[in-house]
Amino acid sequence: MASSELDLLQGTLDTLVLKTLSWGPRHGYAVARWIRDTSEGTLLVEDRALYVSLHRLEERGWVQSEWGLSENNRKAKYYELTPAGRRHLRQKASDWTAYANAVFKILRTT
Amino acid sequence: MNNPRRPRRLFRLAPTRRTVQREIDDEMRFHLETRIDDLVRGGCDPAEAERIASREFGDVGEARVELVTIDRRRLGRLAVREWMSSLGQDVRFALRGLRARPGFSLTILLTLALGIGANAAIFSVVDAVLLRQLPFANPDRLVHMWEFSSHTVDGRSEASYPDYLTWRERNRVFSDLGGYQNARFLVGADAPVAVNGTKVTWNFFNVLGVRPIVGRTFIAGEDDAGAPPVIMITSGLWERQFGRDPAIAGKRVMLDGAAATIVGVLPPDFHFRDASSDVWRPIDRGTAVREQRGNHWLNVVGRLKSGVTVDQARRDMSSIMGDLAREYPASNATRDAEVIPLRDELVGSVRPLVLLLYGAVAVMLLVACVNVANLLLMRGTDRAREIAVRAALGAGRTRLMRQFMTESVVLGIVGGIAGLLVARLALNELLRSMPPARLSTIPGLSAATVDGRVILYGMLLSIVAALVFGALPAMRATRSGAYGLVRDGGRGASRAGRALRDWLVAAEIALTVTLVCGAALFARSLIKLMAIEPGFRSDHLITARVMLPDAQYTSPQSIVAFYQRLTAELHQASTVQAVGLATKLPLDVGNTLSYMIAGRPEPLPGQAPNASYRTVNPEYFSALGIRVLEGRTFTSGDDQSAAPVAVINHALAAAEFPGVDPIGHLITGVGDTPVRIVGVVGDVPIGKLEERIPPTLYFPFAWSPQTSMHVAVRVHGDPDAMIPMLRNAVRAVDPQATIIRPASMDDLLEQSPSVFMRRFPLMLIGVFALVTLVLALIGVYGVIDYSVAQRTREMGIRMALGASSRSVVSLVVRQGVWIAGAGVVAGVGAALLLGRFISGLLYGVGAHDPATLAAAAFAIGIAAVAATLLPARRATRVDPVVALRAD
Repeated sequence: MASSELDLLQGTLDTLVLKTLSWGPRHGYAVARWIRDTSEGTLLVEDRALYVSLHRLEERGWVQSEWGLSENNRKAKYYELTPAGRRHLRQKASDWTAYANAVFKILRTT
Repeated sequence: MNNPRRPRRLFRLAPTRRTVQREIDDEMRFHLETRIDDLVRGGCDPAEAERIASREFGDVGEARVELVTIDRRRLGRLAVREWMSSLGQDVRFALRGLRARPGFSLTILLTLALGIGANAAIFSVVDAVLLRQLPFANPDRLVHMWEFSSHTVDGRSEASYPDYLTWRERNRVFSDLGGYQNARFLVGADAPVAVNGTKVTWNFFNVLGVRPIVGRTFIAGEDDAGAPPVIMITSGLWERQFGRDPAIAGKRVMLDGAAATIVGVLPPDFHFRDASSDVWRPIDRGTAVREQRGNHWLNVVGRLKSGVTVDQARRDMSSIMGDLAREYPASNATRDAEVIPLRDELVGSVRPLVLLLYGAVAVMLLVACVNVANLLLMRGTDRAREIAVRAALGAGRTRLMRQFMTESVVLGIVGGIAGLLVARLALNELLRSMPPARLSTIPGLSAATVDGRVILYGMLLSIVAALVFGALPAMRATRSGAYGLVRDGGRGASRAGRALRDWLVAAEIALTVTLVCGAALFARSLIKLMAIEPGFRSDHLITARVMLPDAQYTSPQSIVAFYQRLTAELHQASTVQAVGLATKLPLDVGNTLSYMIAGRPEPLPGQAPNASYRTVNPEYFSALGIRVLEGRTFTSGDDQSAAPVAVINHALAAAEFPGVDPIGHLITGVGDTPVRIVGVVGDVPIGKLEERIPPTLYFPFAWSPQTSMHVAVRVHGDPDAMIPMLRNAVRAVDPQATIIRPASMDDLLEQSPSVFMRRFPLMLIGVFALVTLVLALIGVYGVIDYSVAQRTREMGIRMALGASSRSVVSLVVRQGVWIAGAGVVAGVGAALLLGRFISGLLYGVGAHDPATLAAAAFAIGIAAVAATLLPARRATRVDPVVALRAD
């Protein structure tokens, strides 16, 4: 049970990371800040897990990375969605919406 | 926004596995430091900010390990994918390069196809004959046994039946012993056909561990004298004659004129001694023969108990034979037994021949590889500019090496595929060119095919060959110095490169010399062998063996009557000069017997002199053209009613009657009554053509007639055209009779092991040597021609300065002489070293025969120098003006 919860968490995190990158290349720190700020602290994810997710997505070919210069003029590693990653995100997003709708529908019935 | 990816991709600067760790550290450091900066800017105490950042991040050490693992895995896969895709690129590039130079590529592919093809063809023979297990259970434990005695004609002999029974009973080393005897049968009711077969003891197949695919093998008692005839057939005969009838067991066929029951079918891969032996039946000798301890006719095989060595078996058998010599001195006094592994017995005699051929094709392939290497080296020089450009654009040496090796391997594989096609053709041709009698008696050979094993071998061989011929050119072409060639336009073929090619060609010549020496030695052997005076005239002689249904010819009179009518029938034809009949023809080892001369002291037990013997009709000597030296030969009056007479050969006369007239002496010990010597005839080889001719006794046919006789008919005209006439004559006298193995005496001579074992290697090694020689000459021509082309400017200057054509020619030829000389010297050295491997196969000429080796070496040296003349002449035609502008 515990492991499947972890898997779910990992899968969810992957989807969120892909979503974060859907507006353009970002470095890991920016991704972390964005998730933290957008969820207003609801999703408490260790940054470590985030990086694992980024590298794993890169391994699967959904994102690719390059070194570039950050806003504060430092060398930072930027991640960018690949076309395959974009397709995967679309798929995951629609899966999630359908799942969430179903859960909502059940919860609303009294 | 600039895309920082592009140049990186262009230069292939992906992080290597080594830099992964550093990049991850950089990435995490950036994260933590930026976070701390942000917090401090938000008014946080730096120490507090560090704590917060660290807490938010989690365990840095663990993260590092995890990320490194992921990235390494990713890079590993990436590298493999890249490697594969660039390999594909290399292969495409290589194929394009090959198509762009069709002449060059075809030369290489043809060379490789010949080299690999010949090699794979011979390998399929090596595999079928030497590598594959014999088709029996635990074949390594099977042995063959011979009796031997220093007092018999050929030293060793089969076992007598009582000896065999004693061995079976007393030995402590075999789990069982079985016996066999070659035979021929007449199968069928009307117009029966003759088939090869074998007679065996009932337990023979149990000893070999052969299980039938239909029915059963023989059971105890089926080999008793007078037991009803039963047979087993091979799966080949089952398929050809009985359409794989599943209910074959229990069916009856006519065998030698009597009904025999088929009890089982042998498995498809079964073969023993003679692959053409289709019918197997239990031994059927009469009770009397089975009780004679001095009558040797049974071949014996044994299965060693597990853990028993051949040496132990030898000791055990010797001790049994020692006991028998004491118990039965009359028959066994000088006898011992020999035990040899069955594999050695079956393939021992052909193993050196097969290995020799394998060695020859290995040499040929090596020369082919050197030739290809040479061609690639030359092209490598021509490609120096291309290589330099690619190197300048960032292709590393490893990358260039790989490109070169890919080209070689592509060449090798395409050449290998073509080679396997060549191998198929060559193997079929090889098997077809072999006399059937030789083909079927080399175990497994008739089943040799280019199968999966051979294909695998051929493919591996072509890759190995590609590495051999590709490595040197690749190293040479990509060595760092070559990059400088971009400056002088790739024209500066280095002195070192030329020297290397010269050495390679010298090596080719050396290898060729060894092969040609081998071929020459076999040619000399064959010439010497054919020069042997056989003591009879083999021309215009047609021979065959007549098969009579035993069951219908039980009385001597009926046999004599048949052959008298056959002789008369044959004499009807105007083309027939003489009709000889004999139990054995020349070059066919027959039985031997021991004899004594009346009036001489009785020899010690077992030490009576031994002679080969044949039973012949009166016309036999004139039909074969055997000279009568003294006295008379037989007449039609020498039959069972007359006093027994014999004709002896010169060897027997010389051994027993030196300086004495043998005519009128009596021979005893060969029958119930003494036999009078009435004539002496010339020596005729009994076994092999080149062997010493043993003492031989001839007895008149009418005195002890046998059903199955060999006929030798002297005819006018082409003997092969007379075969139908002979067959018809036999059928005309008795439709139940037939002939087998009809052949002219010349063919028999040609197919005899003595001639075959020289002619066959001569033919094959000759072909290999010829191909190798052509390759080597192409090699010589190639390097000289190339070096002339390279030195066009030098030649032009020389000519311009007044050098004569002569001196230019000699300049070029001198290079050829050096190469050829070095090659010939090395080749003769190698031939001397390798000679001992073939000395056993030669006849009448030593493996180190100076005349033969010198002739071969001289011929090749001349040929090699001659190959330089064409390019040398071209050098003299260089126009100095053109040459000086040659850039």
